Amino acid sequence: MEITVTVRAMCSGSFASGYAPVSLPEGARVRDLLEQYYDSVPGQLGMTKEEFLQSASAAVNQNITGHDTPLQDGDKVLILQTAEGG
Amino acid sequence: MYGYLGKLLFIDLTDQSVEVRDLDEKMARDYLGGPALGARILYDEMPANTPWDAPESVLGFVRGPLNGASAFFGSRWTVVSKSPVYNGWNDANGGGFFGPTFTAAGYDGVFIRGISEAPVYIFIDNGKVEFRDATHLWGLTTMPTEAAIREELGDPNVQVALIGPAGERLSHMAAVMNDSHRAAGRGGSGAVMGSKRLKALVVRGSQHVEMADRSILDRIGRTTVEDMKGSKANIMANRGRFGTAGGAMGNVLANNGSIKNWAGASHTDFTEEQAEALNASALDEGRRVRKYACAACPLGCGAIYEVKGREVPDMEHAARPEYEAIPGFTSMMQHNDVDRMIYCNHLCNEYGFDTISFCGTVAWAMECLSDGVLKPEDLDGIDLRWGNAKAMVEVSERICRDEGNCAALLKNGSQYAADSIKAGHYALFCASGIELAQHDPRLACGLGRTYQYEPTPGRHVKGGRGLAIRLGPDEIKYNCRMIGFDEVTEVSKREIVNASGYCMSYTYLMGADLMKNVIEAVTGFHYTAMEFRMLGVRSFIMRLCFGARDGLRRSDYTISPRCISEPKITTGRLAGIVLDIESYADGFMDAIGCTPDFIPKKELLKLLEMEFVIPDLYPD
Repeated sequence: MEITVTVRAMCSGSFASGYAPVSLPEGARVRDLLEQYYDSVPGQLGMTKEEFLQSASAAVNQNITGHDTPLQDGDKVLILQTAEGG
Repeated sequence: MYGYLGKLLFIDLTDQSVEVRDLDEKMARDYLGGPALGARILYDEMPANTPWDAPESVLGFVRGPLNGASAFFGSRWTVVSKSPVYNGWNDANGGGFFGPTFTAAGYDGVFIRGISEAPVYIFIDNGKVEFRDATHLWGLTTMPTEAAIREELGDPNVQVALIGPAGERLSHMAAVMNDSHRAAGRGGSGAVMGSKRLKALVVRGSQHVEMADRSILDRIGRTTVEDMKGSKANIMANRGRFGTAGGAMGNVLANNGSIKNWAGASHTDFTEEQAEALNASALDEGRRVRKYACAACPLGCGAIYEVKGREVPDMEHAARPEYEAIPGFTSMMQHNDVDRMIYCNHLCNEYGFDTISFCGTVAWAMECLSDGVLKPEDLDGIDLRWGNAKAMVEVSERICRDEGNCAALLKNGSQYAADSIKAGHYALFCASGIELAQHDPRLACGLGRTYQYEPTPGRHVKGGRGLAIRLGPDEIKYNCRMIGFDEVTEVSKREIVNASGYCMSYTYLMGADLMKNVIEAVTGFHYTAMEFRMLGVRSFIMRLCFGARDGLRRSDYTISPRCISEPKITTGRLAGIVLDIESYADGFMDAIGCTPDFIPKKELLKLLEMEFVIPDLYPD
């Protein structure tokens, strides 16, 4: 299936500009997409994959969801990573 | 003694007496500096149950061993006092250039008691103490005060920690400011400073701390610089370019930053299109004139703005707001007028208010007016309803200028205002009466624990697992079982960051495991892994004991019902969430060695070599 993704994180890498198409296998969930994103920016987030998964979230079709949410063909996903401080 | 000047300064403003004492090496090793050392000293210097504004109340400025030690990220200095907000321990730290210059002036800590007959500022010039009249400065905002002091002393390089009019008026939201826009903001230490009629602490000097092993620092520094150009270049391009502001848009859309005074849902009550205005690159566009970095910082996460010709008064030297103020003055009030947000942030810096408490208080008033709890005349007829950014500015200006009903009602924060009118408590978002930072505790039980059960409540910068995992899987962030050991580990690490003078941002460019190496290289102290963990635990427990001696117990550490999702939120990511902070706190208190009533057990106090506390907490 194909979904479109944009990223609001410390590093957006190849997912950067606007909503970009991403292919995922049928049955993929938000967690799978987050892992794919992490793997696409190797070493650039300054944290382990586990740390990233604990600090990242996603809005699927403008609804903030948990990591186990199933994705469907045509979904628009916004990957969010928060930052501390200020 | 490596890493320290070895001297503490004690000042009594009532008679302008001065006493210099040696810093005991064991005390330095056990408490390191900053809030931990400050708590240890104030515990001895202030009798139990001293009112925050009494002559016996002590205000302290404390360095960490990394201040002035040429360690990257090591410039955070700390102000300590009793808090006027919750009558317990308070510490807050600031960045900029004050910390290293404070070190150069010759003392590891300056502790001030008494009340001056007239407004005064203290000038510490290479160890020498001078009291100077500040009558002509009283009433001035922060930047003109700094400029006047520098002109008066004929030195543009003196560093100044000061209060604005907020502190002079004893506002519980008053910060201690430095470098124009750096704030040791939380907990109301600015009011304690104002109660002493102390306008500023001014420092200058040429003294240095000796380091035990400079070569280790040099090596770590070289690696850090190489990483900045290589593997961490992306971090520099993001965190270094946009600072904490870079997280604003994502935080709001993730429902981490406040929407509609914490009662709203992202995408529903604040849309993705609205949030685009909070994007750091959009904020910078047409406003950013230069980068700003604190001393010894290779990251440089700050920026200076110039704002002219817009719908707010011109600002020639405004700081780019830190993350906290961005949602605080926009999505929390359900608008995205960023010029007015920048202006309100600037007002807070100029008048010396803590932005977190300030915007939380205005948002509370906005909800109360929108719901009819407040009447228009309570806010001088200003139509402070959801989304009205112009009204937000008008109310903010009135609080800052101490004008009308707005100031009378709101100048001491939202909890104080709700208590005074005996209404509006449903709209509070406070821990022990202080407004929470812009990280929603309902996203993780641990974050709720950090806010509620902490000697300085309401702070996101204190330790715990919650902040790091708040967007992670539900089964992790809402789990309350078997969390105690890990929670104490995170608390201990953050305590040491704060005690040493580190900035939290050091982890972006340096591995967290380097902290022990750096501290040991500077101080020459060596800690086993367990001793290092207990160093952080001791810091937490010492700060806790300050309030515990006054009788503060678990039930005194309160949190507003809305913070734990009472009533339940019905839409968005937080729909149906109920936060079980109590179960989480049970695990934490047991693991760190406290009783269920949140006082340290005798065995722990003995283990930490804090037997001096036992007669106070266990008089029988």
